[in-house]
Amino acid sequence: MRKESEIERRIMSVFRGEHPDRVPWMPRIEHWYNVNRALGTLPEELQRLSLIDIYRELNAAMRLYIIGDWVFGFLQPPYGSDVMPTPFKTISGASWMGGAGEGREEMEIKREKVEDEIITEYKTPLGALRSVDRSSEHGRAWYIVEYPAKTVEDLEILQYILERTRYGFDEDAFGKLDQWLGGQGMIWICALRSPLQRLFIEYMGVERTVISLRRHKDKVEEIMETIKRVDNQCYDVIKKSPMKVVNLADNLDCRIVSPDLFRKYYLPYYQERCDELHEAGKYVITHADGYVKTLLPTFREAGLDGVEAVTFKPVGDVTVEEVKQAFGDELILVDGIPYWHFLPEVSMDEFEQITKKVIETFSDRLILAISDELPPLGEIRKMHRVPMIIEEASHA
Amino acid sequence: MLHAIFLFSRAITGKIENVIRHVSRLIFDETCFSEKSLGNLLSICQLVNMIAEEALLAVKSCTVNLDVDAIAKAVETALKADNSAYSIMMDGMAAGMEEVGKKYEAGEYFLAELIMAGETVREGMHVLQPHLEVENVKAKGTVVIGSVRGDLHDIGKNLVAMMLRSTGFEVFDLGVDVVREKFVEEARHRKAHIVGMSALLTTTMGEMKEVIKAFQLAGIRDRVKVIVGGAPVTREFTEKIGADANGTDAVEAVKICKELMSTFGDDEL
Repeated sequence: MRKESEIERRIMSVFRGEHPDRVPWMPRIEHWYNVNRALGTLPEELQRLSLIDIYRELNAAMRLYIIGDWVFGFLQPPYGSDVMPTPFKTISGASWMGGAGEGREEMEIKREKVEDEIITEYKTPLGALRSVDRSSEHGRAWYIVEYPAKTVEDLEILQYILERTRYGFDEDAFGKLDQWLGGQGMIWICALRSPLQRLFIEYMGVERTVISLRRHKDKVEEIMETIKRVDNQCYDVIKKSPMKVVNLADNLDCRIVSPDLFRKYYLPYYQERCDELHEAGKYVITHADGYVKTLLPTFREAGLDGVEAVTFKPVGDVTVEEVKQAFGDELILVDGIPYWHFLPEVSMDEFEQITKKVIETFSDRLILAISDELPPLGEIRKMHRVPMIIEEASHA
Repeated sequence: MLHAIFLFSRAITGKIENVIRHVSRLIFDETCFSEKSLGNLLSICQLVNMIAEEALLAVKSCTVNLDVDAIAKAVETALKADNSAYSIMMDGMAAGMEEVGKKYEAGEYFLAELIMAGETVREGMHVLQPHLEVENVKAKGTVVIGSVRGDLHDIGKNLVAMMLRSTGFEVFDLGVDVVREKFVEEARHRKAHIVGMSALLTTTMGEMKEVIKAFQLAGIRDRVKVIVGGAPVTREFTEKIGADANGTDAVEAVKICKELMSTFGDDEL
C-alpha cells in the first residue's frame, strides 16, 4: 500500500481527531478550471498548467471525487471526451448518477446525444422510461430536464431496472487515478444518494415526489425500500475499496428536506449507513449545500464524521457561530468559505475576514475549502491568499 | 320569494336586517307580514350566510391543511352555498395561501408544504375555473416569469409562479434557459406588469442585467417592474443591475409583487 503523503496525512489527522500541523486546504476548482479553459479565460500564468499542476501551484490539496461512473470534473463519453480512469462501474442497469451499465437480457438501455442533450431510454418488459440531460455552463455541467419517472406508475418500471442494477470496482483504474493525483490530495467517493433524495434529485424531481409521497405514500415508500436494498450492493463495493472517506452526497437543503422529513426518511438511513461504513473503517460525511439551519441539530445524531459545503450567510442561512455550536467538537466542517466571497464583488478584506473567522472557529475540526466550489468568475488571487492566511494562523 | 331575499341579503353582507326589512316592504304588504315572520326570515338568512361563510372557511382550511383530496368537494360546496367564484378564490384559497406563507415564514412549513399547498389550490381551481370565466374575473396583475438563459433550475421559479397564481395573478411561465428577447417579447405581448427572473448560478445571474438592458433597448423598461431571485441574488446585486426588487423566497416574492402592483395606476391594470 502506498505511503500517506504529507497532504493526505494532514487531512486524515482531522478525521482521526488529531491535531494537524496546519489546517488542510482542499478546495474544489474543477468546475472553475473547466469553464475558464473552455472560454479561454484561465489566468495567463495558469494557462499552460494541467489541473493537478494548478493545485500544486495554489499549494492546495485536490479532493478528487469518484461520483457514480465519473470522476468529478472529467466528463466521460457521451457527455464529454476527457480521458480519466473510472474505478467505480455500473455494470448493469442504471444508477442515474452518472452511470448506466449495459442492459442485460431483461432490458435495453440506449443513450443518444442530440445537440446539447443526452436522451436515455430504458426499455423493459414492464414498459419504457426516458430521461433527458441537458448541458449547461459551456458543456461542463449537466442537468436533468426530463426525469425518468413521470407518474407514480413509472415507479414500477424504475423498480424493475434498479433490481437489475449491479456495481463493481476496478482496482487498476483506481491505481492509475491515484498515480495521477500523485499525493497532491485524496480520492474520495460520492456514494449513491439516500432513497428519498434520489427520488427528489434523480428520478422524479422535487415537485412530483412531494405530491406522490402525499397521494401515493405506500408506492413511494416501497420504491424507497427497493432503492435502499439495491444500494446495499453499491455500499459493499465501497466498503471493500481503498477509499477512506465516503460522502453520502445528498445535497441537503432544509427548504426541501424539512426536519420532519429528515427525521422520518433520512436519519435512520444515515445512522445505518454510518454504522456499517465506520465498521469498514471509513469516515462518512454528507453534502449540505443549501439552507441548513433547521437540520443542524440532526447532523450529530446521524452518526456523521463531518458535513461538507455548509454555506454561511449571506448566501446560506447560517452563521459561523451557529454551525460551530451545532457541530461542537464532534463534527468536522469540510469547506467553509462561501463561494460568494471569491467573486470580484467581494473585497479582499471581507474575504480575509471570513476565512480567518472560519479557521479560528473550527480550528482542528476543519478541512478548509470553498462552500462548495470556486465559481467560474472566482478570483484566483484569493485562492493564492488562503494558504498564507493558514500559515499565519498556524503561527498565531 | 325567499330565494330573492336570500340572494339580496347575500349580496350585501353586514346589513342583513335592513336589507330584509326593506325588501320585505317592497314585496309584502307590511300589515300581513308580522314582526315574528320577519324575525324567522332573518334567522334563516343569517343561517344561510353562516353556511356560505363556513363553506369558504372550509376551502381556506383545505388549503392551509394541504388537504388535496378534500378541496374539490369543498369548492363545490362553497359554490352551492352561493359564494361567488371570485370570493372562493380570494377569501378561500388565496386567504389560505396567505396563511401557508405565514407558516412558511414562521418555519412551521417548508418547501414540500408549499408544493402541496400549490397542488391543493390547483385541484380546487379545476372546479372553480369555469365559474371564474363566467364571472369574468380580472387578474390582480400579469406576470411573465422564467429562469434566465443558461440556467436550468426551476424549483424556486415554479413555486413563485404557483403562489402568484394562487393569489390571483395571471402568470405566464416561460420555463428555463430563457433568452432575453423572449422575456421582452412575452412581456410586451402579454402586457405584463411584472417580469420575474430566476438564476441559481453565479455564471448566469449576470444575464439578468442583460435582460433589463434588453427591456431598456426595447423602450418598455418603464412599463414593467422587474423582480429577481435565486440563491446568489442579493439586495446589492439587485440594485446594481437596476432591478426593482428581489425576493429571497416564494412567499416574499408574492408579497413584493402585490406591493409592486400598487405602483400601477387604475388605467394600467
